[in-house]
Amino acid sequence: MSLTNHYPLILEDVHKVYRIGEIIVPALQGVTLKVRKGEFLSIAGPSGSGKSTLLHIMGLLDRPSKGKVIIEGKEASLLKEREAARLRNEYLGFVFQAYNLINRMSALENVELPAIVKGVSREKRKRRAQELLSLVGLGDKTDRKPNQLSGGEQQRVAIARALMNEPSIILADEPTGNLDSKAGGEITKFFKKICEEYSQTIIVVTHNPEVAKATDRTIYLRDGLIVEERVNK
Amino acid sequence: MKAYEALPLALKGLKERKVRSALTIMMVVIGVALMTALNGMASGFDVFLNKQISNLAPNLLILSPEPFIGERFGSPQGPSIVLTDASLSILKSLPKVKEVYPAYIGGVKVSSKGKSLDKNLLGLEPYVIKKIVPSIEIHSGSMLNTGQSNGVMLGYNVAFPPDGPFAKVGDTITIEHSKVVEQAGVQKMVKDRRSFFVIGIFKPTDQITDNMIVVNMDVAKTLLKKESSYDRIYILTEDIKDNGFVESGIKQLYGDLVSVTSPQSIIKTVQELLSGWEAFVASIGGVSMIVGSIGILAALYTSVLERTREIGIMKAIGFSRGGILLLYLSESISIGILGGIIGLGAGMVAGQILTESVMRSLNAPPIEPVFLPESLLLVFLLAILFSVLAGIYPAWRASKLDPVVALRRE
Repeated sequence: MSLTNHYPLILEDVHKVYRIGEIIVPALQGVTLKVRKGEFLSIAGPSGSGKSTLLHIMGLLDRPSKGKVIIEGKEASLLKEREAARLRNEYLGFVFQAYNLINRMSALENVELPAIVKGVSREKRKRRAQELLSLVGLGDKTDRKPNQLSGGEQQRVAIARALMNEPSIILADEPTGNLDSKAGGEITKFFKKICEEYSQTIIVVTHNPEVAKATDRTIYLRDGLIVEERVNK
Repeated sequence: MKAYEALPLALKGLKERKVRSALTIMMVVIGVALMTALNGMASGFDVFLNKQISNLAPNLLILSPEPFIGERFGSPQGPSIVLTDASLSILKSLPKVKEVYPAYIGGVKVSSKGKSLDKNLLGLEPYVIKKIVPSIEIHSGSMLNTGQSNGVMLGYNVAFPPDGPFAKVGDTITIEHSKVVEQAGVQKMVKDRRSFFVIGIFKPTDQITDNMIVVNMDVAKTLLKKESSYDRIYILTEDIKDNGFVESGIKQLYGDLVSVTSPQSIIKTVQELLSGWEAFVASIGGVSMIVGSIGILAALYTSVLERTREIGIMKAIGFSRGGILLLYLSESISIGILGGIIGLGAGMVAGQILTESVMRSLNAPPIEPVFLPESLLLVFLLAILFSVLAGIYPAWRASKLDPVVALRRE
């Protein structure tokens, strides 16, 4: 096993500067981080600390102003838009606070979507989507539209979607933020389970100390810098 | 993403906004239907007129005296030039002229078994018919003999009008001619009627011949009270190429006192008329297509704005700019294809109705619209082209959205 396989994600001195008119806003000021395969990592910190920016950069939705983002040994900051899109599709899975399902599509179709982009055959992707929905406990609700599902159920569909292309890393942005504590707890437990059983690497941005405690390691951001790192038991 | 995967996704997108999509498709339908209907009508005219003319001998020139100017003001003073046997000899002697045949023509009322019709009576030597309309054939009976004074030939529409048969071979029919004559300063209507046997009936050939009653020249001369002048002189040139030369020779001889028409000149006039019509059709169709594509543009642009967040999700899932572009272009192409198919169908129906009602309002014989496969295909491709053009800007806007900004949108 090569070194990079141990670390599906490496950040080296990542800076991000926003320009709002004349004013320069530094959002990240040199973040260096290695994430192990199968690690459940949480990123915590107050609003404006740069958590979301960091997640967007790790998810190749945004580019660093300076520094390197290395995903599965590929330096993503150098990639063209199309290649970055392919990397997002094949190596990354996103889970958002607001679930972000597509309302006109059924649960099954939502889960299928990343595989359509990847070019997986219809039969194969239908079967996998069905399996994933069963895995998240929604095997009997595959034809429901998002608005026919509860918040917790929608988030589980979103997780199934994130798992569709067997990504190296799942990036979750406040995944329990819109859920009550019971539904939120189930989501966290589910993350923990796939982390342990399938060695799935998960990075979650959260405000919630309960969620942070459930992860292997928590890093604290403030003013665009990692100010504290804690290994949870 | 495989390109064909975009289509079902696009159709789902259109289905989500049923009313808006239907209205947008409607705009395309109107443009396509309009072009199809008007084109079908123009092609119908074209085919019809060409069929009429193609039955005439190609090397034929038809000479008729221009009516005397006074006649246009309502005073029946006769033609401005007298075409006599001397005129025939002069015309015959013109270079490149092969044959010349005179004829009389006039309106008559023809009656049989209590029914009567208003038709034109053509008086000429029977064998001349075949010279000027080479494709003419006998439907029933036989050809009128030269000099046979009690027989007539009927055009197909005279014998078989739309409301049922009028006369058959062997029947006796009455032909009546009325003429206003001046006697001792008083205008008087003089009627003359005679009975004839139907010798033969022509097969359907063209509108002119089908509505004709043909008799021997002498019979027409007496019945129509013709004095010194022929009504028509048919001139056959040596070759179709010589038509122009002979025509200018005749014009040198008679100037504007006669009019000369030929199948070619009729075709030319008709084609000029039709090309004007076609330009008109194209401009109307073009404008409606442009309006339709602005409709597509507006509808798609609105949905891009509405789906900003969704586009962000799509990008997070791994859609590239190209993928998003393809998705939105597929929506506009789908609109074009659906609108195009429905529009072609609607246009063919509308073309039928339009042509019928136009011909009826002109009191003209019914004409069938003609929908040429190549022009249907062209209209269809235009619909798709316009919808693609209309889709480019919204699709480009969608593909360019910054995913971070798009995802933040509530």
